[in-house]
Amino acid sequence: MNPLHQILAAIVGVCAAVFVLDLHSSSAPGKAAMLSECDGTLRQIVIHYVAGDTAAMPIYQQFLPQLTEDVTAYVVCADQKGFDEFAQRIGRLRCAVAPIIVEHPITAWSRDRWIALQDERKISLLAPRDEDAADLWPARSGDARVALDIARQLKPGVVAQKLDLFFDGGDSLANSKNIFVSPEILTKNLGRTYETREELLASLATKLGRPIVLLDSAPNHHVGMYMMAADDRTMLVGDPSLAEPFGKMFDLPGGADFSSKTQRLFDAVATQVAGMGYRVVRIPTVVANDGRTFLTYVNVITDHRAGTKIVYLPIYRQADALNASAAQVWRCLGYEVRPIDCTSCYRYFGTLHCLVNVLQRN
Amino acid sequence: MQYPAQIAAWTAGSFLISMALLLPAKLDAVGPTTVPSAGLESAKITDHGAELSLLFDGRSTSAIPLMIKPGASMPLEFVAKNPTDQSVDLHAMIAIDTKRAPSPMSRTVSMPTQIWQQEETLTLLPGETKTISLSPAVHLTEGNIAMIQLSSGVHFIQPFTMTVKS
Repeated sequence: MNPLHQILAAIVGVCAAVFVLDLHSSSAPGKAAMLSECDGTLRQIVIHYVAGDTAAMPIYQQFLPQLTEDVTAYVVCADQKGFDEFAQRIGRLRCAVAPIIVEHPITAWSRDRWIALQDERKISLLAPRDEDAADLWPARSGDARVALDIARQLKPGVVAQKLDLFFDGGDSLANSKNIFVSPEILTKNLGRTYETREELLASLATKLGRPIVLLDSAPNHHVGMYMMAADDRTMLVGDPSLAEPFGKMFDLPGGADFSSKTQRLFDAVATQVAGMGYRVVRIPTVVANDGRTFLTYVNVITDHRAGTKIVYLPIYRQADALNASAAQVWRCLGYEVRPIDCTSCYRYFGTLHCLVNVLQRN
Repeated sequence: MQYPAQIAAWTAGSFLISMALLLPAKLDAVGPTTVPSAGLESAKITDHGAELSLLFDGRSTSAIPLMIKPGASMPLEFVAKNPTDQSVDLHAMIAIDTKRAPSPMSRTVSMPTQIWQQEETLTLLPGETKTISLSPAVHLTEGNIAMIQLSSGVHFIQPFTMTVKS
């Protein structure tokens, strides 16, 4: 055989292999990335319902009726009886509703249980290796299993994986360019799961599919309580000073915290994000002195449909002027504002975004 | 084509060899129930070449939250080792934060509160190792979560989390 033919045949073989691998890698799960908060149309969401609930249900009763026929709301319940109770209380909806019965206790907070990654083939749920206080709190122990419960019911389109990291879903927030991560992720993991900050961040970037921005300094809460992506160039960041003229009336644990120390934490986030080239827009936020209770207007769900940008915005009773001020900020960014009264749940340290996790956007 | 079988064999052979060499070990990284790795075997801070670690019950870290009974003592050992050939001056801090599980309705546990801290300033000669026994004067109460932290300069680790449960 002519050596030239041998060489040519070998080159063809190598090229074929490279072509096949390239085809595969373009659709492999490794290309999946964390769902952006500010892109696409809602398709599938997941909420938790705990029988007898009075904190989250008022939010569901306002939010779910606004979803259209092309949206599916999965409702995680401990048992069928719980789902029947939910169905009876929520009434008729336009969106599809499907139960996920898990047969173990859960809390109401869907957001922190997993992070959804989406590619063209499937949805991957990444769950933390364990839940904070799982040893003390049966519902938290149950929360640790929810991602796997969802994948079991929705396979093969949804898969789930427990990561080797400690985190809450709320510790990170994505747009289509970056993933912003709370400093708390360092505290939870350094010395336990990863030795250095660099190793931890590299691992996160690989797992979540986008460059990681670790916030250097930030309020000690989930990211979605103090910032939200309005689009790929614009970031809303909370600002207690904008709420101070309105905020003294609120009956919050320990009173409202308008200290310069707390203000600096919010400002640090704004400065860091602006330094990356983002347009930063500030929005009023009230923080209580317990450090956990927030009247926040960034803990939202956005939905882009038929050319309209919709924001489901938490509002609070007896805060009309503050609500109006925050709504105006969103309107100036081109959003249609749909208020959701979150008075029943904010005292439990979270609002709309914390209760509703998004499984799929198109 | 004079040698179609041989050419096909060469093409197929090079294709297979290329695939074997280039194919990632795992194409599908996401399984339904992948178990996380065990975490770090040991934990230390390296500051100015010196290695600092904290021992509890003979180990320097645990990815799994440890259980501790209410009121139990929490003996710690601070170990500072200088493997370099130069003296090193260090200023380390060991701290314990606690937080509690509040109402079952809550999204998250309470803000952490620091209940104990101790600062250690020391000079390590080349090759020297110093071990300092610590007896934190803390009273851990049922239902709390305690986090043990070690920092030096800009470096920080939290090698242990403990659940206080009888």
